[in-house]
Amino acid sequence: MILTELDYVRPAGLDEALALLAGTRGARVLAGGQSLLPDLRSGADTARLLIDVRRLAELRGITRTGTGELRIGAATPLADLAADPEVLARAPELAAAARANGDPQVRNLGTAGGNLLAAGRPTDLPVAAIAAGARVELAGPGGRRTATAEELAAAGAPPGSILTALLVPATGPAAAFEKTADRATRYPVCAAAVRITADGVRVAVTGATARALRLRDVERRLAAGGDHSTEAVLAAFRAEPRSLFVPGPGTSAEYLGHLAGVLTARALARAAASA
Amino acid sequence: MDISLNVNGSDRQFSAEPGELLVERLRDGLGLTGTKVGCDTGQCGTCVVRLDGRSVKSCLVLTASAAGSEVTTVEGLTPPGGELTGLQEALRQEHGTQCGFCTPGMVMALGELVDKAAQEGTAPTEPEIREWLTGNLCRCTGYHSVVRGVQRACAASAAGRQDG
Amino acid sequence: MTAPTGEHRVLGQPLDSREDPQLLRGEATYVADIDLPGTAHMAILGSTHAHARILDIGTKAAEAMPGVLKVATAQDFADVMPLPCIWIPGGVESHFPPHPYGLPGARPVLTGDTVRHVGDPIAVVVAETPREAAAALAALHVEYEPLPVVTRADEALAPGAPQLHEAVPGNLNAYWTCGDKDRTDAAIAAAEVTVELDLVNQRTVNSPIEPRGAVGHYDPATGDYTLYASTQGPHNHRFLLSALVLGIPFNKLRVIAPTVGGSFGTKGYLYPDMALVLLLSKELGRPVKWVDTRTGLMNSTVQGRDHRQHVTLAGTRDGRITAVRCTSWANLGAYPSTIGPGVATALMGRSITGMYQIDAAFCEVHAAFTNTVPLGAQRGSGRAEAAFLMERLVDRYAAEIGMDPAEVRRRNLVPAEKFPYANGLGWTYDSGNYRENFDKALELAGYADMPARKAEARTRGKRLGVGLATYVAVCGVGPSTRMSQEGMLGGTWESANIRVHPTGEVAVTVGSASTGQSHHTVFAQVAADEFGIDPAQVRVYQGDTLKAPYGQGTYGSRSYSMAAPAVALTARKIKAKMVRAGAVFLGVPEDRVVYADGRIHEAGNPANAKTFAELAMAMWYGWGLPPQIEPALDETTHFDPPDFNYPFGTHVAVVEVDELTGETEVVAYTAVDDAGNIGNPAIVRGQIEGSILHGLGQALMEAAVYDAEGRLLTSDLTRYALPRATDAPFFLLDKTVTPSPHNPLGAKGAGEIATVPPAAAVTNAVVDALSDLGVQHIDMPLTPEKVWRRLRGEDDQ
Repeated sequence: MILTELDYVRPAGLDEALALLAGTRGARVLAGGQSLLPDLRSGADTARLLIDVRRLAELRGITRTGTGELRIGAATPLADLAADPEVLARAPELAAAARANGDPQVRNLGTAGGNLLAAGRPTDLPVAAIAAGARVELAGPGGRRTATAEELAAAGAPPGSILTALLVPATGPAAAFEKTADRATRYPVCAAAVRITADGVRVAVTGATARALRLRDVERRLAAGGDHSTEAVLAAFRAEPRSLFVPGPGTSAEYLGHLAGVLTARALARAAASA
Repeated sequence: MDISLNVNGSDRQFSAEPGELLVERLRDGLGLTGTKVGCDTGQCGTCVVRLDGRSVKSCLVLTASAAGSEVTTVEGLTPPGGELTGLQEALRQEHGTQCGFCTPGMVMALGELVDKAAQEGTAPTEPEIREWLTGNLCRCTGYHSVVRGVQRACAASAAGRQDG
Repeated sequence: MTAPTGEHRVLGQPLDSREDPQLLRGEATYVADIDLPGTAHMAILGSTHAHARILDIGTKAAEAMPGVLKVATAQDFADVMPLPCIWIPGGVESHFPPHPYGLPGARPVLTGDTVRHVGDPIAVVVAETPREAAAALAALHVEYEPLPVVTRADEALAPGAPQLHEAVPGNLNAYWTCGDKDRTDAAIAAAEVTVELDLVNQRTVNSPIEPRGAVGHYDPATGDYTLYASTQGPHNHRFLLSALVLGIPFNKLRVIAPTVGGSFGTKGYLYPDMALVLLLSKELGRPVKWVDTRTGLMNSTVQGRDHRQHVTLAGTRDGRITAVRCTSWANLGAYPSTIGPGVATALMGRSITGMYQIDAAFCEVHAAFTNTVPLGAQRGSGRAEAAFLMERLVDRYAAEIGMDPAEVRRRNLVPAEKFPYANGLGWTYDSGNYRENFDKALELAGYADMPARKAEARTRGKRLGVGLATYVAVCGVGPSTRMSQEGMLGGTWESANIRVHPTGEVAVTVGSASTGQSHHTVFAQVAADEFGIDPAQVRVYQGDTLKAPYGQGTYGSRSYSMAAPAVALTARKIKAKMVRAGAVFLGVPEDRVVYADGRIHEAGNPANAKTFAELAMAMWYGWGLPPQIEPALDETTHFDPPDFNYPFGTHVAVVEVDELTGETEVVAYTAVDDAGNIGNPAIVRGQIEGSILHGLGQALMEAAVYDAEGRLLTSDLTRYALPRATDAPFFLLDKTVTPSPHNPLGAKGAGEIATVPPAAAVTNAVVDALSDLGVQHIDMPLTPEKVWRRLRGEDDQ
């Protein structure tokens, strides 16, 4: 039961959605609603107007762009993302992260964009998008622009903007995602995503940290050592400041830092094996 | 606001508050009480219905957002007292229900898995069935009989394809 | 009476559950699905403080809200009596008044002065719709004066602890003991070897998937009250509510249990909402409906387990256990629930010796009130806590003397020739062949292969551990006189009525009420088997106090060993009457009449016969019967067994602990349970499978966690983890069959018994996996970080 009074509108196109968002106090974009609805029910979110973009054609579908990127419409359901042959072949960490989210019903409604923007929830997609070196496409009152997935995870979408797509470098299979799920929420206690590129490895973790983060220091240590063994990865994580890891129910920062290392090591091993 | 929704094959028109949850419409507005409510947070899966063919939690969908879609509830699978679907029959044979409160949600969630398998001419593995069930909590059965029921349903469906 | 024979033998067959089609179609009516015309909706305001004085409840704003019909607080119900506790540890001296009903500290229907746990109901709103009721509830303004909080039993009993009830000095509900203290202390003092453990059997939440609900309907024309409620025991609730709470005639209250969505112990209790919907229905002249939320359930419905224990085992160097002693601090929560104090004392304490023959045993329980949700039964209640401490001690002892834990168990099992066996703590085990059961389980689990499997697992970075747990679970509550000695205020017998209709169809009506155990199927099997007729001819009724003979309900795995015997005995009465009347219809002396396969015939002359249906019609007409034979076939039996029954079993858990992360996976689970003669193996298999996973939940993930202010941190399913399908490991199940002599079916309890050993088996397995690191015990739930710290050689924090 949602006790707050709210309005609902289903705009005909992106421009109308942007206009509504700009012109209404307390307006929120609704896509799959798999994070927003629980918040509305609990009272954690008190949106006054919901702008439903789930059906907007501009926000749906997975295509290959001229520059070789995969363009994933923000309203693409996670289930579609997880099962897409191109994504599975070219960005396996993203497919695995999409599949790791929630349960089949959440994946059927939950969208790529919603998952990237579920503020305060350690969803699975951001960490994979960061490791993949993905960018996001944002439409706002001042036009369209792009940001990196890392910037999005750090700052969120600017007020008044709508996330329209995720742009993923389709570089190939040398990538992996690993997760330890919370038994109750199914959100990650910790998740790690890695991608091995010509420039080295990209490592990102979430759940164990305050938000999805790329760990450049870990990457540097791994590159310097040239060793991706479990022991080397764990050592690279032990060198991170303890404050990077945020304790949760039943988990200390010390354990989370260790777990992040274990999952990263496992992801690296799988990515190397599939390269 | 005025809403039009196809529920179990019938077009329904009604007025609903914008903040109404689909499960509230189904149970309280349309009297389709086979869809249950077991938690407040989207964890239990007793409210699962099919929305344009996909299984979803009807406690995490606004009625307004479902407008224009096709909704199938457990009541839409078979008429009252009518013949069970293949999945329901297989679950019956494996005693895949005890108190029954989680059962309609499981039937609606698993229906998508079984339908997909039938369309693709494949059968899900046991780990796939178990993973598909992660959105449905059951405290009675320990899930084993449910898993056996799905396996039986898929086997029966495959046998039916071969006969056909 | 002769046992049933012939081709119609249906008992023991895995007949398909006849409830299932309706459940699978979503057609069953649960309490939340009841929609009486004119229904008003109630919402309950629970305290947000664990311990506080209520200074004021501002109701004006709520009263002015749209659709609000009534806002009520404690003062509206000043005449209503508190909810009684009917299990008084230590026994009841007299079963004539005055009774100690309303045990000191009993909970009122609404709390007025001092709230004692978060969720303590303090006000209700009734409105036209659930939404309006919820909105008005949010507009109630409560002023609290916080008081100091205590959430642990041992701390509640310490000097200077916050006091919950004026009438309960020191927060002590009961100091309860069983066994021989002096003998046990002496045996421990003289022992070659002693081992000790400090255990926390953590609090858990039963979490049926259907939250509770109640609909009250008062009919002003007749003055009758009807309560529809998710209840395990409609008759009990009728008696307690009418006579002891509302003070209305028993004759004026009808209780109906619709389909109930699981219970596991929780729905047999009396709750304030049940009284409130009836009282408010009368006041408002409309049906009043209340359905709980999940968060509401977590903060109001009885919780389980919650013992802190110091336990000691003594034995010889060659593996003979000579004594066991347990001191336990049991957390009863804020109020004595309907039978909570008995669960925490006798059900646990008298069970601690389990399958073992131990010369000296003693258990003492300090049962205390704290600022937490009241404690009650949880699937396997009491017996699971007992098995946990005993099986942990046996493993600890085996490690101490360097003996295989299987061998230690074998050396101490009660031998088959010793039954009936008095365990020295108050239970007399009815029957058993523990050695057969134990060996079968170990064989099935491949126990002998474990060393090789452990070595193989290490090559994969896994530590494999194997854990054994045996148990004896007192079931079949029960013998009424024996229960009175335990302090149960009320009879615990069970009954059944059978009516043979003129057409030969049969109606079986039982006092017990199902919460998912397929009563409609199993009781039809029992009757059909006795009569030698097709089960399709039999229909079962239950759950409505207007229709059903008295019965206590479904709890403690009792329906098949209490209600089913009542069905069988009633069928036998009817068959006996058929034989007596048959003498008239066949024209032969009574001793020449044979009942077999659903008909009677003259001995040696099968052609002179009457079918079941012919007899039914003849008895309906009643023509030509002698004066000593009444017409009709309609009999009732009230079954009160001579003693409890004692199912038992052996479980073997195999776990793999990840050496890097500390994650524990149960990779195989073997259970060999003995529930005596089984009525329907398919249904019992379902109960066993569900029970095991429930027990694994406690071992691996479930815990009700309160903070220092008494707030339940795990108050919904995003914070309280329940096992999912991906958590259910591979099960290997088998059984042994040792019939109980205490009922005509040879039945023993089955519904919850397999919840008793899994927590112990899994903990033993994890400790085994870590044993070379010197690990002796880890408290549940066995979460990855706890295990990881032990892998690194750290102690518990």
